[in-house]
Amino acid sequence: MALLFKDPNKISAYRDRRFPGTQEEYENALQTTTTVYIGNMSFYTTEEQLYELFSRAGEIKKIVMGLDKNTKTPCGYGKLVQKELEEQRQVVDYGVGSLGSFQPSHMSHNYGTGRHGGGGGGHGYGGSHRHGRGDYHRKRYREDDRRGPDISNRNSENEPRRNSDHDSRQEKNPRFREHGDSDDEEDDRKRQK
Amino acid sequence: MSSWRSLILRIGEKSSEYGGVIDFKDHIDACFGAVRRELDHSEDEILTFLLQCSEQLPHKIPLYGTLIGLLNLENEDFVKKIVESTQKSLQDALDSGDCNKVRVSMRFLTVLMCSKVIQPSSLVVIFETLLSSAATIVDDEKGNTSWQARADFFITCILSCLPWGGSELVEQIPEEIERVMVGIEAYLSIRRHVSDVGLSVFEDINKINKLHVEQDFVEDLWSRIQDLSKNSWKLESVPRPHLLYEAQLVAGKSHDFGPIICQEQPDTPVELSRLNFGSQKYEAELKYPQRIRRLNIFSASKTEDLQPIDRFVVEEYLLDVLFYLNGCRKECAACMVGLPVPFRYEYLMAETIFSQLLLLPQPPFKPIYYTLVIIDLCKSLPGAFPAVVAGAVRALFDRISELDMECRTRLILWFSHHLSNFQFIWPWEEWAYVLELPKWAPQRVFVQEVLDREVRLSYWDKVKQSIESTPALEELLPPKGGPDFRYSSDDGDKTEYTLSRELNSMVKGRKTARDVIIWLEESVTPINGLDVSLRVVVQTLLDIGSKSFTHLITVLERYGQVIAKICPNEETQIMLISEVSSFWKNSAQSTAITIDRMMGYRLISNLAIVKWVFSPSNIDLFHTTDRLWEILINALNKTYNRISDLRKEISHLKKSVVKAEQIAATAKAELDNAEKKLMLVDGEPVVGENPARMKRLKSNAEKTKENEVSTRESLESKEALFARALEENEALFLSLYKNFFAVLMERLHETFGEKTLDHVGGDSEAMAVDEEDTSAMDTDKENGNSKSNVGYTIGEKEQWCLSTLGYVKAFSRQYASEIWPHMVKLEEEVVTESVHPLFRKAVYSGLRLHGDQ
Repeated sequence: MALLFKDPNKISAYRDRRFPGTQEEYENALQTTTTVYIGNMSFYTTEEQLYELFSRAGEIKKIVMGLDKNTKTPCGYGKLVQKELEEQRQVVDYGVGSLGSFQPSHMSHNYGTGRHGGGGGGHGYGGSHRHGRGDYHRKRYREDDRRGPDISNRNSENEPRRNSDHDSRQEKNPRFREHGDSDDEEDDRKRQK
Repeated sequence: MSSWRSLILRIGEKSSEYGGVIDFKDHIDACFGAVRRELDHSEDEILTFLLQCSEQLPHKIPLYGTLIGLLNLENEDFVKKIVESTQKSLQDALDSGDCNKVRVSMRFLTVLMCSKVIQPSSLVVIFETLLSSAATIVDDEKGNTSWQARADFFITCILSCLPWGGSELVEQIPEEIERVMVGIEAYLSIRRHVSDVGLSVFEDINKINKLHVEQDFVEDLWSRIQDLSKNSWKLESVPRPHLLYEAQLVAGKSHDFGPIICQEQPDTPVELSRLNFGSQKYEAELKYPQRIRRLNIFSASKTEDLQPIDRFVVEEYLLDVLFYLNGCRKECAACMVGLPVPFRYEYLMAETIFSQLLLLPQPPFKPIYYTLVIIDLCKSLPGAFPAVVAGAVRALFDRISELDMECRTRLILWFSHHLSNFQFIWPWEEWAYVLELPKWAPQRVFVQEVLDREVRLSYWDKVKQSIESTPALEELLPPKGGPDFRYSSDDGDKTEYTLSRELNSMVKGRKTARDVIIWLEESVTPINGLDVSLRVVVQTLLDIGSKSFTHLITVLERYGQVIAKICPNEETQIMLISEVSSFWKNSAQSTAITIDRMMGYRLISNLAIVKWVFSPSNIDLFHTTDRLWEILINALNKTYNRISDLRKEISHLKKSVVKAEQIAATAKAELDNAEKKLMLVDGEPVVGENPARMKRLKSNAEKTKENEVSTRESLESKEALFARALEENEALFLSLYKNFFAVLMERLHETFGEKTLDHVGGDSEAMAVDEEDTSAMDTDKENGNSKSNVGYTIGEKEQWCLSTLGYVKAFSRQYASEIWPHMVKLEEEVVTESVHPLFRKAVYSGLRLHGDQ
């Protein structure tokens, strides 16, 4: 690891104000988390695409897609939990390149009203990529279609590394539709931690 | 960053610190000026930083060396400290076997010698120490020849210094350096030629005895150094800034360099059996891996016209940048394109990166790292690099049928990822001819797998659109459809359909797994049989979980117990896998993910996966698709991860036990001490003096003891788990090899006859064309429209054998460390004397075990 150009112990200045603990706990959580935040995604990015790309960097335990509060459709960010701390670091350090294209899905909801205000999204994204800690200071346009996922570990969730593959925690899943096929029946609030 | 820091860091670069101009003299003057001013205030920081830079930016060592030479004229003490720390870090690196550090430290010392900071004879002393250690290792009587990898590494280190200081050494101490060279020559005559068939990217299928002619890495470097010496030690790739300051530097005081010691090599095992030797050799090669295996994929007309030694030096630069700047994408790309050489090297750079991406048994970093480097370089050099990369792809594609299976998989993953970053643009029409090849032709399978991966990274229509120029290639796209749910309509079996609806509403109604199990046991299985239960449950749950990865995980977490209940043994688990595979027949990715997750939740054992992969209907697909191999690879990988996790935990717990013991002992000692004191005071134990303290000590001693015991207990339980995992591993590999053996045996004999190892020259004969099978294909080939269309003349059976053997080799190689401990059993039970020589060859070459040793 190149120590000349960066300090592996330095963490992002971003502070999640809803984090319940002290600053120290927050920093510790950031240092040990195996969760990676992925931003700048298309609304059409699927979990399977993320899986394909990120599994090349390390085993993925879980993917959480950020959903728009009202439409319950993906709104351009997500997180994934990896098995190993080292793998998480690598994803943050290397990035993984970008996902090329995203298929406009069949969803008829007004996806344009998400907080990213994507104006209907778009597809045929080009191949730019961004680095988690801003090594690539590219000029970024709000409506720039040519941007890839923004990856960082600025997420405050501290996912303890689990030792066994088997994890039987029963957890409320946001995208799991028990009540029927309509997106509207999902309760997004339960997803919020 | 204060300015001396950035000046040191950016020296030799076209950076703002130096006004955007590269002039070594200006750079050194400016940097020297700044450092000299600060030396009194921040000596320690400068020392640390200079050493750090010269280690991590080794392509700038000549500049740092000259800078230090100049500082030596001002402040001898400072430079003395530099020499001392370098001595210490070289010794540490030798002790810990840190190859990169040893090599870079020696280069640094060579350059310090050029700047008169150390005596040439001190450097020769280091060379001789390494040389004598190397000579001992390969000595049949005194040494342990299985550790030749270390000896070779030492020799490589010595030779690698010469481009940086050969000319100075020869000028100043010609006899001594000549002695070293003679010593190396003697070493070369004793050592064994290294022929790692198992690690070559291309399988030599048509060239008899080629390997015996080809030089190995050390021989190759030696001949490059010979050339350099014939050319009076002149080369272009190493800057020699010290010459600019020769007049000043001469006045510098040379510092002593303390002696270094090479570790003894491990003793030869008492019983030098073939396997003992092989496993030691394997271990040594893991510790001292060869850094690069040149690919030579570009034709000589394309590559830069370089002196052999310049090529070596540039490779060293590139490999060092890749190693030390891993994780800093911007800096890494900038250094790669800005090496201090006066010639172009795009082809060499591409070849070097590809050689790393395809390095066997594994590259120093994950393949995805090299993918990103290539992407970054394409963006840094948009005019030059993309075309070179495309050239490399074509060259590799032309030889795809010789490409090692593991390398082929890496190439597919890389290429699809790369294209996904560049709008999926590729001149597919060049490869349209693969459609005329039989469906097992490696070229055709390659295109098909790349397209499949592209679809996974984006979506079907997008990839379809990207092959617009060659619409016929659509034939190779994966099916477009989604899941194939058996009960999507009631056309089929009405009973099963109804049961499925019922289960579906139970799940929607949030019934527990327990409820579902009761329902199955009471009202489904007894009436319809286990088969129907299994099919309905698996199909229905998969359907509910089919929307996304998260849906799948949720349904498995919630109803995994139901599946576990109806699939308790290998036989039913195989049925489960078949059901998954039929449900997801349109999506290789979903099949693989689902099976992988099910194994993760321990619903499926790795043995069941192996058995399923080798089931009769699957065997026939071995040579036409990667689907099954992906599933098998995942299963092996997961098993391997489990065992490495356990190893890590155990080593961590062992440390904790030691720590807990110490703490407990300290607490006990404190308590004893306190008790003793009390006893001495009154002759009998009186707790009156400080009862609170006594109580605290006592409880502390108890608590720490308890902690020690519980840590030890958890260590013991982990060790028990580990022992079980090892057994399971043995069972897994035995089963894997038995299955390979079973499917290969008959086919190998049918296809290749009783070819024995008499034909040592390789498998040329075995791979020779089967006239009957290929005559039809020859005509096909004529229609191929690619200029580089290599005739594909291999029949289906041969290709099946070649592909399968390729995976035998790839698996053996990748999991060699796990397989070695079970080697005796494996040879007893599977790889016996009577197996087909090609099968044995695949296993042995993967394990790097040579028949002749």
